[in-house]
Amino acid sequence: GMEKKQWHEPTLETLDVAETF
Amino acid sequence: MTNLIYTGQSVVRREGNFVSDMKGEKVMFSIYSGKYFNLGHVGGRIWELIESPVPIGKLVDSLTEEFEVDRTSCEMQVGEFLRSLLKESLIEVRSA
Repeated sequence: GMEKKQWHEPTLETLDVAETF
Repeated sequence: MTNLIYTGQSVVRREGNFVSDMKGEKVMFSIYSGKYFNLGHVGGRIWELIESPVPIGKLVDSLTEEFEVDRTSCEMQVGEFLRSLLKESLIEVRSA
């Protein structure tokens, strides 16, 4: 009875501060 | 350190990372490397699930229950993702 969430391939994206506690 | 990860091993977050939810995605700052990372939605969910040591097989079980993905694809993609986390020293891999 629980609808599953859409899957996206997990990736680790490195950000620089400008693109981005 | 080896970059090989097997489903029988356990993974856990490494201490020393600041994590924040931003627009549904998890963004992290590593004090070890000084880098910022975006884990995205699924990666963020994996990060939540490895708060304490969890066998990789069990992690894949949880994800296939929660997401629309077949086990083979999930296992392969999660393994690749965990290797990238390990490479950046964001997780520890332990023998089960």
